[in-house]
Amino acid sequence: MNLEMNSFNLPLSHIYVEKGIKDNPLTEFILNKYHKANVIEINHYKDVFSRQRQNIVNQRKSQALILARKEGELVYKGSPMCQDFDNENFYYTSCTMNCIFDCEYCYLKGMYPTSNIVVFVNIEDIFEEVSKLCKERKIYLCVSYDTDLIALDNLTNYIGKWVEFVSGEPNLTIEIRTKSHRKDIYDKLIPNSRVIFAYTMSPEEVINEYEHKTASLKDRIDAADYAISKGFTVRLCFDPMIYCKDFKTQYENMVNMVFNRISCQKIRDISVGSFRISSDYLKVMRHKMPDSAICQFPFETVDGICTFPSKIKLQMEEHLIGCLTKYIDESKIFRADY
Amino acid sequence: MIVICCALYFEAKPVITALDLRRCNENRFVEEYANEDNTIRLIITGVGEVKAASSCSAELTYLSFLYPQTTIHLVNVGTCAGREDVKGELFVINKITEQNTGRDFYPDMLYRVNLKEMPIICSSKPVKDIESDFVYDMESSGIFTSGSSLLSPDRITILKAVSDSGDFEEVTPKVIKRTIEGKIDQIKDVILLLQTTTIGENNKIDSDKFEKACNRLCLTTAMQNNFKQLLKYASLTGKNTDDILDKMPEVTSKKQGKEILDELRNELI
Ligand code: SF4
Repeated sequence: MNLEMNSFNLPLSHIYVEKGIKDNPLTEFILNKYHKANVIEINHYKDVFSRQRQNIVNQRKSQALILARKEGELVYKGSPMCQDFDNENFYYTSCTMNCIFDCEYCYLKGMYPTSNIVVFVNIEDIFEEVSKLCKERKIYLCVSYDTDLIALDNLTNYIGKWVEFVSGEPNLTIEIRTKSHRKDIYDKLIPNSRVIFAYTMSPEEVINEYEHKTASLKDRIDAADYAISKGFTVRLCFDPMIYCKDFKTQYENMVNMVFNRISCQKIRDISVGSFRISSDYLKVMRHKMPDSAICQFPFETVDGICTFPSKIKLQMEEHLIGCLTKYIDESKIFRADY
Repeated sequence: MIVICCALYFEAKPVITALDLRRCNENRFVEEYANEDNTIRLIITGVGEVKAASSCSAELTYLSFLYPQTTIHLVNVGTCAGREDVKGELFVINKITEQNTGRDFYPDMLYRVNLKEMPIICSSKPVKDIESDFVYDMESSGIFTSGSSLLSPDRITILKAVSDSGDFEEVTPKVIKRTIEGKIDQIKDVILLLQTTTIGENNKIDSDKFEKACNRLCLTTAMQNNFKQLLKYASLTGKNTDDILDKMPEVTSKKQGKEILDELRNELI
């Protein structure tokens, strides 16, 4: 640990708890687990979450936890910037907000005013809302967009709850996106083809440079492979692709490494997409993270969406598709629209 | 830079001595003290929320013209009322409740100051009835609200030593001074720790050179923004921005200027 990190409290050393949920079983479980944390009572999570002028970079070094009740809209229509994998009724929900991982390019840094993590303890209310949606039509729901749910599972045990919930909702398919190394969760769950574990794969250089605190490429491959071996449905997401000078070698090596280990027949599908972000979020991130090379990259902006310059973007995607089709049929590859 | 606020001179005196501060008259709107290299300043705000808020604003506004806000950390050092059994203890405050309005404020608790934490109730007059889970003062909410109009909530730290239990007739200047003196080593440690966490500004672009280069390249405002973004990226990827700026040639049209920017972009990415 360097001197600077020594000046910071440990992550989750502070837990803010809404008055109204003190007796919730998950609140009690978390407070028991982190019994050494300083607990601060609050009226509403936004009193802490939405404060002005928060320093998201420093907060990252000592993330606090906020326990709250989610109210109002609980399930949202999927954003056009996210891949829907040809699913018509594409929704997402956030039972937690923010992430213990620290990808420099993560849009959450532009979307949320804080780096502190919120866990909504009333997941049952979200289930109720989703059940209503599933009554008459098939629903495709992403449950790990504004966080990495697997990485937080020690705290919430939400993965098991989602898997159990899906088994009782025949119209529901969910995607759980992750960059975690955890394999142990698969020992506790019953596989369900309508629960898709989606692993983001990035070249080691990109992981080291920008995806701080996430699992190494090898560990992600191990975890995905383990999930497959246990009968779970796995998607591989080569998205977001991040430009680096030797992207051709980097991405080619990564693809080879993935498919030397994972059998392509056992993958449900693959997504490919270059990094893209709303210009409003990027503006905030550039202001709050002046020292981040990826945030300060001279992106191209079209219709409020920032991407790598079109020439580079096309080169990167074409190259990756070329590498992937050596192993897997193109019909299994979904490409982002942006 | 650390900016310490104390309501009273008696509270400030032990801090002034421990940190070797001297009276300085840079900002004529407040009574202020500073160390030799001007990295620690101290102001006396006067008693009560309003005086605390206005003195604090005066100092921060003044400093914000001279230094980037990210390099300033505001520390309130003072005495407070609390339970009998915590008399003499020093706390770092994790929640401030403004008694008049019922509003709550939360400083970020990011730094390892090694002190017990406590919520505080900030009232407009001395408090007699002490609830066990709180300490009480008369300035913290004023200091926090005025500080947070410029600084991030991790850049405001409230340190309070318990001088009494509501028996304020007994709170003499001597008692106040003695309370702070009793905790001065811990206060000094916190201030030195906070000093290590204030960040300087990186990737600064020489504005004079930038302006001249923009003129030579005939850039429009939008093109200037693109150019600045390229320079920021260049500096973060280890290039010398002064060299880039010096090399920008003189052109005769916006079109030529744009071509030069495109070349630079291709070179950098
Ligand atoms: S893992 Fe996902 S949610 Fe977490 S920081 Fe990275 S991009 Fe953001």
